[in-house]
Amino acid sequence: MSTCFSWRWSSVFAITLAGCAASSFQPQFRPTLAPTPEAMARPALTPKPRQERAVAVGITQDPMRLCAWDLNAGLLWERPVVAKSAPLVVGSAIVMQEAEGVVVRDLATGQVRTIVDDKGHLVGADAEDDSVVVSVAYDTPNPRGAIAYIAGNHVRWKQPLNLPVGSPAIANDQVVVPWATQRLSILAGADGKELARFHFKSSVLGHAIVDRGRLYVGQLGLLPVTEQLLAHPEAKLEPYTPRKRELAGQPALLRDGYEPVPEPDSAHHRLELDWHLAQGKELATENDALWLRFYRLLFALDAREDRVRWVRAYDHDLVGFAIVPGGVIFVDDAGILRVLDPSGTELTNRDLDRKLRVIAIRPAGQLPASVVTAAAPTVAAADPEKALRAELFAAASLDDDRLSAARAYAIEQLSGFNASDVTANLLALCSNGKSPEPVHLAACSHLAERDSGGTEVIEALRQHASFLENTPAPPVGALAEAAAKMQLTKAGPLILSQVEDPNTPAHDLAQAFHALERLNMRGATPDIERFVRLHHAEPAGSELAPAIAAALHALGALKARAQRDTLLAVSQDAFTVAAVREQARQAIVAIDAVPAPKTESVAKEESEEDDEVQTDPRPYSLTAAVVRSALMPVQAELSRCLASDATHPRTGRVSMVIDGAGGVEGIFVAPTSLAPCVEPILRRAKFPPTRLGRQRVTHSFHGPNATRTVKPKQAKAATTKPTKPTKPPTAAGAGPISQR
Amino acid sequence: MRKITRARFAGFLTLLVLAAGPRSVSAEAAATPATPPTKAEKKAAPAHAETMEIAKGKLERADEDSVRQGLNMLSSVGGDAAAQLVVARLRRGLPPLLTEAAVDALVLLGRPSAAPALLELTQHSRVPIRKRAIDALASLQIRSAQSAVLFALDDPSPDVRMAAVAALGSIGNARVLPALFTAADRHVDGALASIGNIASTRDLPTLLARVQNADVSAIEPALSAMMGRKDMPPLSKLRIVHELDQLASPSARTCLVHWLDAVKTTGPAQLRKALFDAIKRLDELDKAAKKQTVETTGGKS
Repeated sequence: MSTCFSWRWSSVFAITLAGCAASSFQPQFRPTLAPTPEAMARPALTPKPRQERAVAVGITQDPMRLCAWDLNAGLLWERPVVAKSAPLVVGSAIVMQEAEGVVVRDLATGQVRTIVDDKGHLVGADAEDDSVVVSVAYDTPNPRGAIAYIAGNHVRWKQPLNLPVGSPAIANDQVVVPWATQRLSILAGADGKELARFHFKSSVLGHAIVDRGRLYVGQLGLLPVTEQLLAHPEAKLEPYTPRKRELAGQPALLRDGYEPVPEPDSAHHRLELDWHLAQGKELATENDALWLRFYRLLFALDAREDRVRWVRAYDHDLVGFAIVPGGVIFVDDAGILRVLDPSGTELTNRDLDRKLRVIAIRPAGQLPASVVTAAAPTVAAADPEKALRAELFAAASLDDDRLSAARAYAIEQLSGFNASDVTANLLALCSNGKSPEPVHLAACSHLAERDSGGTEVIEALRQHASFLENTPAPPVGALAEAAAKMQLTKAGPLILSQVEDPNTPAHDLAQAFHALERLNMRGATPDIERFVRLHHAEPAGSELAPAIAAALHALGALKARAQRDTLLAVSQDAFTVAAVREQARQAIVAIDAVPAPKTESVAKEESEEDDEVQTDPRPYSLTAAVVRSALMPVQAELSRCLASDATHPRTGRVSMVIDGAGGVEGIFVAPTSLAPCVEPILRRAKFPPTRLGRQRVTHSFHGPNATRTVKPKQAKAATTKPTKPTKPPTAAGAGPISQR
Repeated sequence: MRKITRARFAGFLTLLVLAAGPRSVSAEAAATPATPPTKAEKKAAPAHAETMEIAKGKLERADEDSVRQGLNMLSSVGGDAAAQLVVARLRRGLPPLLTEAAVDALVLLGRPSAAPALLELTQHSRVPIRKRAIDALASLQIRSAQSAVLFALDDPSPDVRMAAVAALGSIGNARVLPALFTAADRHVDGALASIGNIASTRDLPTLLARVQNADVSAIEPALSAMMGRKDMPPLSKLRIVHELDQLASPSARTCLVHWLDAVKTTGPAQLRKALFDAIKRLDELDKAAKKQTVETTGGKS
């Protein structure tokens, strides 16, 4: 009750004093000629060292209480509170927005010293000994804000402003106030009189900060305040910042100095970029690092370059953070206080035994004493890069939708590494259909840009979605683009097989056709043509439009002369939308304009296909050798099917589903006119049983006319030196085999 | 009936063609029977030719109504030439709705020579077209399509999967049973009925292995399909009755009662008797069990 009376009387006294205080922040400020304004501000430029207690002040979860801990001892006190903002620990006081207004409490006891304002919102505060300055913002246009000076338990003066007021500082009994985004005023601690005013025409000022004997101002970075700076505030100034970069959640370097301190439960306290200036002549960042807190993820970032040093994931959100030379101190919402060194090694942890909404940590410039004595030498990881990759992948894989942006950021950082295991990681992330959209997009877009990990890409392209086997579809689009970037010609038949699979989404088809074009898969043109033929009459706005456009472009780029008639028909088909007709015309122009490719390149491509055997490394599955030997006896017959077909296709392709017992379940033959001839032949093939179970095998076979018709010289040679017409093609003539 | 006979004949021709070695035309197309025209057909030939020409012209028109009219005309004319015109137009590509109409026309025309075009459509990007193509393959009894239809069991669309199991039940043979059993385990609607259309008594243990706690309701569609088949030997049906009799469960009794209802007037006497005896035995067992319960509880219940 006595406390209540004391702060009420203090408020009355403060209001009385406020009326008596010198009127500052007037529209016109007349500086004194002598001494100069910068000389007037000289005391504020050399703040005296502060002797502060290392403490943490937090607001607990239900029931809401304000608790203070000595970082070297333990719990100091605990009081019920109705907090409306996070606490600010300044000097020997705690300033906080409470139900009653902006309240100043004693740090040692938690007792209320005074209520500064019952209508405004707490913006910022600083203290020197028992003197506290507090800036307050109002919802009214006049005044917009105020600066209050609290000496001990009473408000000595209060200066209103008609413009926004930033977060102030106090040094040598001078109050430094940034206001109206570009102005800095120096007020006398005794009566609030405005001693000097500076207009920083090219900088934004939101904060005045006293740190280890120096005064800084800034908002987008920090400027050390010197007499020289104050003499030319209009000069173009470049504030110090750590290296700028795109970060998850786009946290600001400094909290907006004009905005009220966020509420205890605000996400602001869980999503923050923390950094601290190092002591020294040169401006630098403490530990040369800045720290991105994203709920329960902590990224240690290099201050000089866009690089992640390490990532840690915790079970609970991090709700308080402080930086000291040689480490960081932070607390999670379960009340666990941890101390880490700059390499990420945990030096110590302690249970504060309270579940917290938010906590303000003031380490007073050093690690807790217990840590200093217990600190163990840091053990460097054997392969730090590999360890970082693993950490980034683990962070990107966290199943927490709140972390979407941070997971996407982890993926972006992960993709910067060229190792093949990163490709596998990106593939796993891209394949996870349950991931939030940003995570999925980041993983797939970076997977598409990979230029390492070809084996992983091929292996993944072998997978097909199966309802019966309950296996998901691989990310065909991204994989196809990656294969094209790596020029994996082996991937061509696998991509084609995916194009034919109804499980491949429409949006992946365009990427698949682009990839076939970039891989120069001329053998794929009949299949691309089939797609165009079946789908070109899709109505306007069809989701297949990009795929049709890509397929037509591929036909043009691959100089598909054999498909020119189809393109012509498409370009003239009235059922085809105008855009597709135009794309078909362009493809024809491309075919007609570009000279026929050199026969050597075709021969090379086809020989590559011929030699290629997709090997499934899994020992329990059908190996390439087994598949090849199983189909060896029927190669000649398959080849004859091509020769006898009315359309005389150069190649044929079969997709087969082989069950665990080695029986051929399903067969799909392209072109479909070959099916009656090919299917009974394939039914005779014997495959051994496998432990894997059902597998899909794609097999291409070439007819006798596959390579020779496009080689005039060989054709000529064939007429002079005829070979046996009935000689069956050798096994080497078999096309690529792929299976899963 | 005529269609089925033709399909079987087509299958026989296919075998002949394959035995003779690959030919320049697809075996399925070659298997289309070239039935000699009747007198009435000969008389109507000029009129048909004219209709065909008009229909052909309509198929080439750029408006949907004309194409539909052309398809309808060809469907009414019939014959392989009409089917080939539809196939040719289909293969050049049509808007989705017209593609479906063309597939329907092929079903009406009933020509197996449409098989390659329909097989292509089983991989179309649109679900209704894939489903219709599979339905058409089943309707045309293209038995050689069962391998391609098996792929559709992995289709992302449940409608297509259902169409595939129905088609396999119609055109499939014992080779597709493992896949159908997997489909049944994955709860594809109609899979059990299709199994029942194909399975023999050899497959009964596999089917009964899915019975849990003597409750046959899970496999009832398969058993009912087997019991309803005309090509299922009476001895096989008696074995099914015997198996259910052995299970002696309420769900087994329900099945037996349904089957007895179905064959009460027309079924073989031996089967009727077996069903009647089995139901009677199950009722006696039930009565005895109830009596025993009353004795043990002292009539309290």
